[in-house]
Order: sequence, then C-alpha cells, then structure tokens
Amino acid sequence: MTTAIVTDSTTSLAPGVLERPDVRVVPLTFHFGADETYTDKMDMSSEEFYERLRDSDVFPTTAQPAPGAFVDAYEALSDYDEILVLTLSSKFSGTYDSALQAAGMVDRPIHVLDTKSAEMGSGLILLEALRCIDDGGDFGEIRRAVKRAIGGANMLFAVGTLEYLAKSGRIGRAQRLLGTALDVRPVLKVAGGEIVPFKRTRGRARQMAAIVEEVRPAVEAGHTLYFGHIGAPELLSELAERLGVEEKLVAEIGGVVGSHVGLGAYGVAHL
Amino acid sequence: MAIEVAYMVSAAHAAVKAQVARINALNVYPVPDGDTGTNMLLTLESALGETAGKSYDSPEEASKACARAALMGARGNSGVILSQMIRGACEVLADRASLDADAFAAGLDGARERAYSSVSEPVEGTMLTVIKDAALAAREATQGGEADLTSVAEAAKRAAHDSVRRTPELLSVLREAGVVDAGGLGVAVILDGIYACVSGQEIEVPEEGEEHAPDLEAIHAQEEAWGYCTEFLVDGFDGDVEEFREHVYASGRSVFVVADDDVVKVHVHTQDPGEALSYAGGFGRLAGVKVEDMEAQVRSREPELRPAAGLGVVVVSRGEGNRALFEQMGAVVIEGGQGENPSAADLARAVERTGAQPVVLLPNNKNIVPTAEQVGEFVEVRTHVVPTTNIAAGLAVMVGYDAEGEPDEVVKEMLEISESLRVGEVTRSVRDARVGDRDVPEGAYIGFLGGELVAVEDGICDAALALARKIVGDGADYLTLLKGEGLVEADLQTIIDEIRDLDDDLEVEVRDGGQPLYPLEMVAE
Repeated sequence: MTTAIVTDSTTSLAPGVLERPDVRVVPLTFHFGADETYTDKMDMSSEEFYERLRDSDVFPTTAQPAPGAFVDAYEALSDYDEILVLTLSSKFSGTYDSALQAAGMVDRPIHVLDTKSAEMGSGLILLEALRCIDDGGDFGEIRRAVKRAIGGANMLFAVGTLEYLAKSGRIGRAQRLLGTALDVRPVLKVAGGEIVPFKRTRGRARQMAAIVEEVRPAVEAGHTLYFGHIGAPELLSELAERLGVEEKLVAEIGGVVGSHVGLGAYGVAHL
Repeated sequence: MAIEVAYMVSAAHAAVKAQVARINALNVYPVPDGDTGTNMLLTLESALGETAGKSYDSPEEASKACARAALMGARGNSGVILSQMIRGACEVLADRASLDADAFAAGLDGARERAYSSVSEPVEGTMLTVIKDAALAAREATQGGEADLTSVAEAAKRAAHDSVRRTPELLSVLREAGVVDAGGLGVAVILDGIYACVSGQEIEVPEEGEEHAPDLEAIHAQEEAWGYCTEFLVDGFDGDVEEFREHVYASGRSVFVVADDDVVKVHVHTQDPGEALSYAGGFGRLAGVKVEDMEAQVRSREPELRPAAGLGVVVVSRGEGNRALFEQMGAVVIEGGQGENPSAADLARAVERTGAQPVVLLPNNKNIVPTAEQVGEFVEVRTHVVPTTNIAAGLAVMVGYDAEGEPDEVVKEMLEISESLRVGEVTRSVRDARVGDRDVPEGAYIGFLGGELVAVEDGICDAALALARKIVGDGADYLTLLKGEGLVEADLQTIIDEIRDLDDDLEVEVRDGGQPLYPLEMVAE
C-alpha cells in the first residue's frame, strides 16, 4: 500500500520535500497587472518579489490552479495506490475546488483535504503526513494523522499593515481590527480556515511580545515550530531568540500568500 | 418635610450662586481647575429643578426625589461628594415629621456619613472635614440641650467656617498654594444659606419672580425625549394658583409653574399640549405660547442611533481632532474635561445613545472618574469605568476596544492597557504657586507625570522634553504625543526630534487632538 501527496504551492516546503517522488506541488499564480503572470515560488526569487511588492503601486492579484494542473499531478502519480491532496484553506482560495473538480476528472479515487491553513501551517501538516508515510502507516492511519494535524495546527502572524489583507478580501473577521485611528500593529491568527484577529498592539516590540506570549506554551511542550516571513528575516531571528529556540524550519513566504499579507509580515506555526 | 427640603435646597442654591466666583477662584493646583463652585452649583440646580414648587405625597418621596436629582446632576468631584451629602441628609429627613433641631443635626450627620463612604480614600482638609465638623457642632449643641433649630444651624455654620479656615493645616497642597479648600468653602456657604433660611433672615429665595426662574435650558439638557415641551404665560391670572399648579403637575413631566402677582409662567412636557392650553385659558389670557415636539427634536439631534452592538464606549473628550479619532474608533464622544465636567446624567444619556450593552466609560480626566462611577446607578445597562486620566490615555486604551469581542475580555484588556500606561501632560501655570518644594511662577510651562508635577520650565519644548525623559525613563518603547491648542508646529517638530534622540528604539506617534489647556499630552506604553 503506497500513498502519494499532492499539495499546492502555498504550502511551505521543508528542505528535501520537493525532491521526494511521492510529493507533487501544483502552483498557484500571481499577477502584477493584467499582463504579468508569475508562477508562485518559481518564476521570481523571494528578493525580487519583495522588491516588486515594495516598489509597485499596484496590488498583485493571485489565481488558483486550473483543475487541469491537478489532473496532471494525479496522473503523474498513477503508480501510487492512494493519493491524498492537501490544499490551502478553501476560505482563502478556490484551489480546493480545483482539486476536487480534478478528482472527478480522473478514473480513480482521490482524497482531497482542506488544511484550513497555508504556508507554515499547511507545511507542518504536510510534514506530519510524510512522517506517517515514512513510518509505514496504512492509508487510514495517514488520513487520521493528517486530520488530527489540521485540527491542531496553529498559526500566528504579525503584519506591518492590514492594507493588503483588506484589499485582497482575505481579511475575514480581522476586518474589525481596521479603522483604528492610531497606528496599530495587529497580530492575527489562522483559525477554522480563516484569518481572525488575535490582538491589536502598538509598536513592533509589543507585537512580537504578544506572539511570544501565545506561542511559549507550545515551545515548552516541545512542539515543532515552523517560522515564516516576507522580507523580514531579522524580525524572525529576534522572535526565535525571544522564544529561546533555533530557527530549524523557516519559510520564505511566496508571492501568492505574500500578495495578500504584504511586506514585513512574519509569523510562526506549530502543531 | 417636603416643604423644608425644597426650601433648604433653594436656600443652598442661592447662597452658592452668590459665591460661585469666589469658590471657583480657589485653585489648589496651578492648573485651571476652577470649577468647584460651578460644579456644586450645577448639582444644587439639579436638586432645585426637582423640588422647587413641587408637592409630594410624603416626606419620603420628596427626599428621595431630591437625592436622586442631586445624584443625576452631580458634576465633577466636588459635585459628586455634594450629591452624596444631599443624599445622606435626605435619607435621614425622610423619616422625620418636621425639621427640628434634632432632625437638623441628624441630617448633617447623615450627610457626613454618605460623603465619607463615597470616596475610597477620604482626604482631610476638604469638604469632607467641613461637613464632619459642622455635623459634630450641631450634635454637640443638641446634646447640650439646645432645642432651637436656628441656634443649632448657627452653630453648624460657624463650625463649618472655622473648619474651612483650618483646611490648609490639614492639606499641604492648600498650604503651599496659600488657599483654603474650595469645596469646603462651598459646604460652609451652603450652611450659611440654610441658616438664613431657617432663621427667617432675608436671603435670595428663588421661589418666584423672573430673576430666579428655573433655568429652562439646563432642564432641557437634563430631560428625556418625551411628549411636547409646552411653555406659556397666563396673564391676568384669576383663580386658585395651588389648584392650577396641581392640575398642571398631574398632566405631564418636567413641570414648572412660577407665579408672580397675576402672571403665571408654565413649563410642562405633556403628550397633550392642547389640553394644558385650554385648561390654562380658563384662568386668564395666554401669552408666549411655545410648543415643541421633544421626540422629533431628539430624533433630529441624534440622527444615527447605533445599532445595538455588543460592547459600547463613551468617552469624555475635548478638541475636534480628538473627537474624530475617538469616533473613528467607534466611541460615543461627549465634550468635557478640565473645568467643564459633564454630569452623571450627561454620561448616562451618552451611555444610552450607544445602544450597546455593556458600556465602557473613559472619563479621560481624574475629576470625572467619580462621576463616571455613579453612572451605573442611572442606566439599565452594565457600565465599566476604565479610569483614564487624560485624553491620550483614552486613545491608547481604545486600541484594545473591539465591539464584537467577548465583552468581559475586551474590558479586561482595556483595563490592562490602562494600568500599563504612563500618563503625562504639559500645561501652563495660571498663577504663582508653590507645589511641593517647587516655586511655580505664573505662565510657566509645567509637566505632570501621573498627576505629579515633574517639570517647571520657561519654554514649552523644555517642559515637554523634561516630561518625556521621565515618562520613557523606565523602559517604555512606545510614546504617543497628542498635540493640543497652543503648540506650534515648529515646536512640536523640535520636541519630536529631541525625543527620538533620547532612545533609538522608542517608537513615537503623533496625533493632532486640538484639546484646549494642554498643548501637549503624552502617554507611554
């Protein structure tokens, strides 16, 4: 009994994952204006993307993969007995729908799961699936482990501004953090597949302190942490230092999620 | 007893009114805090508005109404304490058949007790001491066998004035400033009025006549939206004034019937103004008829009633910039602050206007905190006071506000922010004074940190910097500056630049609040 995983490009990939034959990544795309289309994490380096984000006066937009891209992935994995698909939250993107439609277009059962997260959060869920595969678990065990991970994944992140999330319509319930008359540095959480407000803070120091306070129990319990940032590696190092951990897993967040969150954001996920 | 309560309140009101400027002038700090007399007067005015010319079914009812009106109209710290005195006295007098020497002494003692229990940390050398000494003197007189009301009232007022003279001995800020306590003098003046009243001496009894007609504007400000506000004169009045009065009282609310020779002035809120007018027409010629739909008025004044939300916020603030900032964050703003304290009734109305439950109150001034704490007694909704002491602190606390959050948690968050703040402001001394061991010349720029004087400088930039140094001294990393009236842009820029030089890690945010009296407020987190 063999199991392969298909995921989308918004999942942060730990070192070595991309090289695995049993993992396929289906890319989303981002666009600066109507004419410029880029494949997430492939067509543009992180540095270049951050620079465009900083300098461009248009907000980038993003697009889910066509169902055909998933069909290609499913077909490429035809040697495996089972295929498990892990997509980013269906509340952020239609990627989940594309994956489902594609499942109906191939002549075999495909299991599509909504990770209710993205980037570092879905990255940790993917790692859990792979760990279970490598442990020789059967498909039922793998599926149960992934569902547990989806239920237990937590992600907190700090943004410099809510402008990008607001413009992209992905702000969810964090909407109510908007409209403050003072400079506020919000801390957000991904919960139930959407972005929810965690805390309004003032100043970078306080913003980070709020994350540290919330994540510390997970650190003390020895949970795996997955850090991520959009052009803010030094803030991330400071966060790790204040949590008293090494930055073992660090994601440079790609153009798709970056387009929605904006430059200078950083965060951490744990299971 | 109803008659006596009304008489005493109007006598007290007349006495304070005559002395209000003198009481206001006694500033204990070199900041313009000269509203003690005004606050006491407005509080009495509220009680007067309730009792003047009214008849009640029982002494108990009269006393209750009077106490409630005083509490509702209480303004500022001194007004709140005075309202508690009135409440204490009324509670005692409610059980008495008539005002004799013993009832008078017991009433003063009731006033003393309520006043002391209304403040968490009673400070001597204030109006508390004065009422205590007056009550003691009255009690000693009756226990010594004195049964004459006039003599007991005289002993009380004498003791009150002696006590006022001693206030600087008890309270060092008074001694340093070279003044007696303003609120204490107010209490003594009230006892003067009551003495004059019971002794039958000539005082300005505001019973009848245009000069002492009730302040209708103040009444309008206090009243709820109900029916039609109906005002008119009955000229050449011919009939029984008392019978007329009773009929009008029974017909509506907020009723005033003031008779002067053959002219009777009427103010009533009624659902049926036609009935009131045709009834009055039977007693004389109607003049100056004015009928206004109160409910429509209020509707037009408050066009955008908010939908019932989870948690609401009412803030007391001054300055256009500040109003806009607070409103943008979802608060209902009422104007007020230093020298212009809103009443508990003002706050209660604003609480109701939020349409929310519960409601957080941000007084943004030390003197308004006690008023805010009384509001809960008058409104159906639960209220929480986050005791902010300046406007900048109020803004910082608003960052924790979330209308849709779990109310208890949001309130806790707002309280936590409030407790973590270091609050300061720069103002200008209005007189030569001595505070602690410092001489403060008139016109000096002075900086307060958490209410303590920490800077006295000739220039505003120096005062602001001295204050900023103290305020960020122990590890603050975020400083919000709130520009007020009297701070020019160039000076503000100098202040910002020099503050940034103090500490590289300090983040500084600046907003134009436009508040008067305080060219600069600041809050550090």
